[in-house]
Amino acid sequence: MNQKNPILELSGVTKYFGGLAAVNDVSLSVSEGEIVGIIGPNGAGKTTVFNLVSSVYKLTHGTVKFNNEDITNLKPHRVAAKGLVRTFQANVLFKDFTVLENILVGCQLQVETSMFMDLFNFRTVRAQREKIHAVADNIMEFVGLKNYRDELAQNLAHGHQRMLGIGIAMASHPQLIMLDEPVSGMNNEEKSEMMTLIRKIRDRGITVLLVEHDMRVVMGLCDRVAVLNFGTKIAEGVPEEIQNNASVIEAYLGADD
Amino acid sequence: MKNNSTTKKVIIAIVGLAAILLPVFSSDPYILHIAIAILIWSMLALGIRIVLVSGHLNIAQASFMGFGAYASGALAMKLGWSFWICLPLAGVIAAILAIIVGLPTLRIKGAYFVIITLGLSEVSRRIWMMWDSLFGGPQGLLGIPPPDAIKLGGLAIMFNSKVHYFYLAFVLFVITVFVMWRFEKSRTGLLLKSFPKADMLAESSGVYIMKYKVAAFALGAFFAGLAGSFWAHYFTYCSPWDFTLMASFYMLMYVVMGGTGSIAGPIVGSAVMLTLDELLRPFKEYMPMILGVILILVLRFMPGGIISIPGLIRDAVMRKE
Repeated sequence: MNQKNPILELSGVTKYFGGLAAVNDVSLSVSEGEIVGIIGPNGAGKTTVFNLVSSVYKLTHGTVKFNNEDITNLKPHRVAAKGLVRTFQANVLFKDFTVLENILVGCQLQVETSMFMDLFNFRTVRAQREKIHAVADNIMEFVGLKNYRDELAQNLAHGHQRMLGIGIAMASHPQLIMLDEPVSGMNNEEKSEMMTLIRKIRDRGITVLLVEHDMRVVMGLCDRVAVLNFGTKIAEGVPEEIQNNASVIEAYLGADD
Repeated sequence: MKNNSTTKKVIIAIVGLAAILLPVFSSDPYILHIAIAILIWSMLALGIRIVLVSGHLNIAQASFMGFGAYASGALAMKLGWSFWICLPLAGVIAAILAIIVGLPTLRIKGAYFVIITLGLSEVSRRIWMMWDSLFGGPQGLLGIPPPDAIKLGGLAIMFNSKVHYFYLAFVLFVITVFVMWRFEKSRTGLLLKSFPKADMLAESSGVYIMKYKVAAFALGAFFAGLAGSFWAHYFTYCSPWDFTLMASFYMLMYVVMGGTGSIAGPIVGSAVMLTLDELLRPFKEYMPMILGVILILVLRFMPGGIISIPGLIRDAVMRKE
């Protein structure tokens, strides 16, 4: 299983908020091309792990390596530039931008001209705009929003807003994408659409790390699952192992007295 | 859509042509002076707006104008440098100052940045007041030389009449509008507008937010510096009392009155408010009160500013039909 190259390695990742350990000594290795899920009860520290990897929060202890390069506490935009992007839990979008404009913001890593050059209508600037718009068209097609190109993000249905969030992340052409509760608040039809999309992302050679509550989705999608409880990793393995793991069942259902 | 942009172009062409021909219709220095003021204050208001777009309120725009004015005046008086060198230098100095102030402070959101710019306007006033040898203290710099004559073949522009100053201000204004327009239309404009909405999302897409915010702040300050330099050489005089917090508030008011949504807003705001200011000159002592009431009414009934009036009328007519 781990014969493939590890693309993301967390070792001893710890985050204290004051005296509270939100994440405590979590180690996790994600291999290239995998879909890995992080599950756990509410408040287990799943999203905090994302925030630590993407440098929204600074680590108290531990290291994060991406492609064998230490990216611990790098600035968020630098992490993204390395090829590691994330989506956000709620529908965090540029709400009064159109779908196209949302995706264009996501495309910025592919821009090569400087801010100063952009003031002029040089041929390189025009060529670049065409290139970026082609990328954006491609992404909108990929996430199924081509027909909503000029619609404001806030007018999209909930499921489409989540797709757009993923589209923005995909627009930077990442190697690894972290999805924070991609199917929350979705109906069954939207959920299976999202599962199809996540598989399509993996088929493009992009590694997926996701946090999710929906067990059916996690078990149906992930190659491996890690379980967090009170900030600590209590189990890791293929979905079948996790489903039968005693401490996982205890964490979710409570212990018998 | 297409129709709309043609209408816009026609309006811009007519207004532009009228402005160019203004001195032909009227060589009244009073009228020309008001026109010059509108052009210069538009430049300053546009600089406030571009920072506002990225989610920050700068109430030290008059300080950047002041630093441009003082830098230009001091260089011309003490070192005898030509206005044509002092003018761009004033812009650059104001922009560098904005970068120095902006780098640590533009990370801070909301009220804190406003307070820091408030502090800057007080600190800058003190610097001009206390540094007698360079800035002339409370009485300011007196006797700043007017721009040197431009000789184009047989034609010489001497800057001995308001008409010449008007055309110089007009050129500066056009450059400002052009740069602001291109800046906002480019991807930078899109990014600046994205920050107040979800800066974390922009950042996690690989956008280095600070770079764009500082650039916008420096650009606004650059044109404030140019405006300040022009102002100093136009009046041949500048003092700490010209670049107060109150002056910044007036610029901000022009932006809000005109409308923050587009580049036309601050220009229309400056034009309307400065004209109004002149028309109501007999009631000078009541001016702040009158302006206050107008500001409240505009904010209450048309938050989009004066430039939203045609749209509001169109909507009202459509509703009747």
